[in-house]
Amino acid sequence: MPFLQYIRPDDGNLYDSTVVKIDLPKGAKPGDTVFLKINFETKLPSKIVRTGYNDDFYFAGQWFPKFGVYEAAGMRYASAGNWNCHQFHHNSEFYSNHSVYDVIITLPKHYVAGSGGMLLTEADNGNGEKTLTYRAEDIVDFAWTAWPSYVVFTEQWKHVKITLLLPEERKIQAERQMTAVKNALEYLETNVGPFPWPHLTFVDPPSKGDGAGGMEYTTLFTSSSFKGVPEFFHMPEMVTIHEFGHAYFMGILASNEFEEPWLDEGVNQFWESRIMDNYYGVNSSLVDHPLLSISDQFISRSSYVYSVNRQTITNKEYSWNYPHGTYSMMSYSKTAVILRTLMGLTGEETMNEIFREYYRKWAFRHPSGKDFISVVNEVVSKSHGDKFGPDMNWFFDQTLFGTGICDYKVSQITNKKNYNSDIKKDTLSKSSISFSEADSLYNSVVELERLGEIMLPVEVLIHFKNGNELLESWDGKSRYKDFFYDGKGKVEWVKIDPEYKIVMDVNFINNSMTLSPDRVPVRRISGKLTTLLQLFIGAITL
Amino acid sequence: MKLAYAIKTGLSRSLKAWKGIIVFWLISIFMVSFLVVPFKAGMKAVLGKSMITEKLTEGLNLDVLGDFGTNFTSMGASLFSGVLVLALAAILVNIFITGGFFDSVKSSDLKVTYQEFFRASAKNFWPFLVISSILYIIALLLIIVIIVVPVSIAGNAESAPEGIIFKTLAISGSVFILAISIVFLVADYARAWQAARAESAGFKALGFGFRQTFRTFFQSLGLMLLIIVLQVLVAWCVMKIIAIYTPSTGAGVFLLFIVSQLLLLVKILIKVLRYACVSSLMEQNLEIIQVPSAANSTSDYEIPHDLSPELKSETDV
Repeated sequence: MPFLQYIRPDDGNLYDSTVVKIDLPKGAKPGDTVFLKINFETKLPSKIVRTGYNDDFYFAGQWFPKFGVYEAAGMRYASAGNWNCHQFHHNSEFYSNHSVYDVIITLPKHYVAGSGGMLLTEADNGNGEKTLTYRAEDIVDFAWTAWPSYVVFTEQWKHVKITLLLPEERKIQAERQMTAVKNALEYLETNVGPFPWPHLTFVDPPSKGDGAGGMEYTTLFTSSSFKGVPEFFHMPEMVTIHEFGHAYFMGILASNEFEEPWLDEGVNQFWESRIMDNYYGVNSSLVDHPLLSISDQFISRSSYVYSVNRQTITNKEYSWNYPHGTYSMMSYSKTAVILRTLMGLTGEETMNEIFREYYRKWAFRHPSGKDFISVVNEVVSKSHGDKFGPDMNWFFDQTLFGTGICDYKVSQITNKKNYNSDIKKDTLSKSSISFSEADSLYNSVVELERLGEIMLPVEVLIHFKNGNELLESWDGKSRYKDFFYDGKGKVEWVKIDPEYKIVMDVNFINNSMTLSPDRVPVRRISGKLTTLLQLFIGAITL
Repeated sequence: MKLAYAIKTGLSRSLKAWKGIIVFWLISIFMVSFLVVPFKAGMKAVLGKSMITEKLTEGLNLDVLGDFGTNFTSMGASLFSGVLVLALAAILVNIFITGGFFDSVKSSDLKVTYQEFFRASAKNFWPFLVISSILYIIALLLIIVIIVVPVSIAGNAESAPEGIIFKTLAISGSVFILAISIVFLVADYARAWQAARAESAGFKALGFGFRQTFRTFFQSLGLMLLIIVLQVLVAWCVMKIIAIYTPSTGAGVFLLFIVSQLLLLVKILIKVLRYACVSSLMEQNLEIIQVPSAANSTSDYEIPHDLSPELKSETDV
């Protein structure tokens, strides 16, 4: 075909044949319609990596020629009209227009199929085969799956018909999966906006197709689990909610995952942890067992906070350019932690309003990161006036587009008895102090430090031995801050960010200090460890 | 009948060995302390005067441990390597102590003294080391053959049926429990036989252990499975208590420690019961009548010279 050529816009890799450029025989003017009829053949890989087949299991994703997105001047970062189409990368799959799909699939009669479309007709071909006709409107990608042993469950949630396909052996998990997706629908509809499609199909692939698990294609997504997942382990729910979140945000907003992966993965990760916390427990949303609790939020925070590469690069990179294996930590975890911190600063309702506005303004319109930030600026200004300054760019510049860390520390508490106080000196001498500790007069100093580069406003809770408490504010800009108190009762403990709102803080341990630390938990953990090790000794000896 | 008698006599003999049980319990705490005390000191040092411990009041919180930063990695690595050293030390100490246990649970009316317990431990150490070393190697091979290989094959099968790993694990686990019961029986018969002899004969004892195990297979296996179930039950109770009870006061922590240690003492008692029952069963099957030893014997008891022909053939191996 003389007008067709492979191009490699991202890395010039000559072995990459995932993007094709077609020069039209005749130029198309604005308003013209161009019809393309493409005959294509797809060879599915036999080892399933997101797409492919294994034995009699098939999952077809990224299986047809898909248009790039034409960005007119002014759209996203485009200064002039141009096509935006990237090569297929391991780390990113999506940036495409909302389109209408009419798909006809012919397959052996005994196969059970599911797709991102609504099933319009099913015809028996009389030769041991059947033909299924699907239609899907305004979705960014169309995927389908077929396997003879799927068990199908359907439920109606408001306007959405939900279909779940999973192996017979995992039937018992169907209710858990259905509940998870309904929770996600309810939470996002309440706090962001409605799910616009009347149908949603999700698949829990069998073991032989587990390479297809954990993916999203708007109205079809795949979860991941295994037979006999214990009730206390909410991994299937987490994957379902995560992938549904993609189907929702990427499906509706369709940002550019190639160029701004944080806007897809990070935003979704943030909402995943909120949904998980809301329905499965704040501290135990992922693992809820008497011996061990793990929250969904912990996964995000730990992945960023404890990463040795947390200061290697900013979030300005294209998905395939993140060095030293930082893609996942930066795109998913750091962004989720940043958004959690933003919610900690501005409040949950403001955060919900930000996303409602983002949805209202940008649904089906391919927003960019700057569009999201401008919505944040607009809503925060409306909700909080100039409490945080004229805009929130200072926040994103430091966190999303910076490499600094956030770490505040209580470095010292000092309490000096004030023997020279005017109130007491007439009645007491140094040698005859008989008044109670709580009534003593003290000069107390609380010393705080900022160890990281990121400067965020923080609250400081100061507790006095006589029971009084003060909630101080610190803009967090200077390298250190001292608070002075003269009066009855000495400072007993101090907490920076007492409600742990600034989850970006890389060390919560140094956020507080007390004069009488509670050693009971350490003793308890040590005692339990002693017993466990004794059991271990008993188990390994003859 | 033999089984009931073995359990009955085993119970009284194991109670008679209470001094050894206390010794073993104290040693286990002492050994574990080498690991736990530095760990506790490390935790205290990292936490300092922080109030983050409030996040630990409801149990272990990974978020807090994560904030240990590089200390967490260091402490985890130390703990891991410490556990390996502990395992090795525990195996050696166990080999030593079981020498005293098997001597204590022999048929005898004499009281068990600390001196006699440790003398028997020292006397039996080398043959018990031979017996244990060989049986540990066998146990390791069993783990590889019965569990690791089948589960790996099932896990790597591209078109394996749903849940095959769990099914394989369940079947392998069941087979392994049976196999390890046999290893325990061989170990116990071998050690009981060795403990009844004045001279060291680790390999001969092992040979006896195998023969005796398979000669009285179903009887011995039944006894062993019963005792294993009892041990697992006690271990499960300990785990359950540790998991459920999360005290927030010093007194509560102390109470938890006492209760769990009492249960661990019961667990050690059941282990000694196993030794005693197997010893008793062996004596019944071989018709050993133990009598006070000759004045020049290294032990107070040894196998008499007027043995039945069957026992003679066993002891003259």
